[in-house]
Amino acid sequence: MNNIFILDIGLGNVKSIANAFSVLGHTTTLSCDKQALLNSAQGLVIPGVGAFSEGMKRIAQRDLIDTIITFANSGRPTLGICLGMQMLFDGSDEFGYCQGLGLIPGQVQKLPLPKGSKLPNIGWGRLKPNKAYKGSNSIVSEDIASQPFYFVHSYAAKPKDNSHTATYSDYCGVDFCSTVNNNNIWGCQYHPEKSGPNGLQLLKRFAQQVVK
Amino acid sequence: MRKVRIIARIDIKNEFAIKGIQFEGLRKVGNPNELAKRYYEAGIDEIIYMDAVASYYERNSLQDVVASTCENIFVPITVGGGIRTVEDIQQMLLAGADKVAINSQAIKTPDFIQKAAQIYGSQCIVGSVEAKKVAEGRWEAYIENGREPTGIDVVEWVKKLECLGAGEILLTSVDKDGTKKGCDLELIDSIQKTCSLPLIVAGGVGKLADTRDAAQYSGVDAICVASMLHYGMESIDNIKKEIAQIDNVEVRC
Repeated sequence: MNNIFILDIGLGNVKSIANAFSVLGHTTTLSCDKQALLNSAQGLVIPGVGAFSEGMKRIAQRDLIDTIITFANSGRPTLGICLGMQMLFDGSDEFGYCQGLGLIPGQVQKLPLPKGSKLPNIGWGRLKPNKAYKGSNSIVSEDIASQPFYFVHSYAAKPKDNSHTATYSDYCGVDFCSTVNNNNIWGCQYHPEKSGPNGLQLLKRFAQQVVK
Repeated sequence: MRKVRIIARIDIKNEFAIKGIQFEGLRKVGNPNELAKRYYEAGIDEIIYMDAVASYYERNSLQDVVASTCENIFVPITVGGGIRTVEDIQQMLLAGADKVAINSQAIKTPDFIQKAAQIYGSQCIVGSVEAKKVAEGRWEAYIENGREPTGIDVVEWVKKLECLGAGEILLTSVDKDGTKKGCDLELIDSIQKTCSLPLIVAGGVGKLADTRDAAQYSGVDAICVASMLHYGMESIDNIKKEIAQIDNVEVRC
């Protein structure tokens, strides 16, 4: 059985992620149950939209911080999407400093845009592979490595170690980390479940890692 | 490069996709799920579902349509029409919507936008504005699907929506809606100059040149297309090619 656990903390559109995996032929569990995550999940997706502190608060309220860290450290594939990616990092400046899960070293900051730029960044942006990234078996396969994906965000993560950045994307001429990877832990700032066939391809690659 | 999104707007009455002219004389144009699927496969960037009667009759029939659409369509979906409470928003998000568009309730209780943005984030809340021209260079905000005047100036109202925490503006011209006679470019121009949120413009697109005319303004981020797609007048490909001809503008392809 290939059970992908989608963390449901009542934020954002988790249904579409489940639908995407379902179309790809994978079973998912939408839940926030600690035991189910630790004992029966083979892969974890951390979705989320909205404010960093609200997301962390909801994870903490369900007493899930240590469980998620234990799960990720067990080597099982873990994917954070949008706010879920940001929460993988050490912390964020959004509405005052808030600590994250600390699974990938780095901070989340407001996009440093030129004056007059619109925020949030809503729309399609291309991925640009980072040459310093050394990971093999990336969920960003070559056929989608420069394709457009759907973004909705005002903040972006800055990994401490540049080689953790698998892809960049840019908005108003400013490059930011759009895909991050540290061993079995992945994060994407865009929404693969909202990025058409390219997004499905990426989720398929992630699901393949879960099976292995 | 500036990016412009192409959004298919599907107005819904009960379980049917409909289209009216200036919000009146609604005609059935098909099954919303089938239309959405067709547009998704043809490369549409987003879909907006607008319940054409929900606000008027105080009811909401969109949830089932949204849920089945989201099963096999993987682009952002915005739902509007009759969103009156936090529960309404939650219900739409659970069904699979990514954003909600709010008009009437925002006018009646502006704090609703603020509250919704605090809970779900600004990116989830689209301020929907229905604008009707009342004098040269002046537009009034309408509610209840273009039926009820409010006396509120549209330019001021868009600024207010931004302050309240909306993350995007959907600007519909009541005068041009469904006419296929081109957008109200004066309206678009006056809003795009002052609006610092992503701006979606709607109402009046009837031929390729109309999409280009609307997209030429640097403050326009997305164009809504309805009749032109529903009646098979143009392909999404052609619309994107047309807009990509504007200097420094990029579309997703």
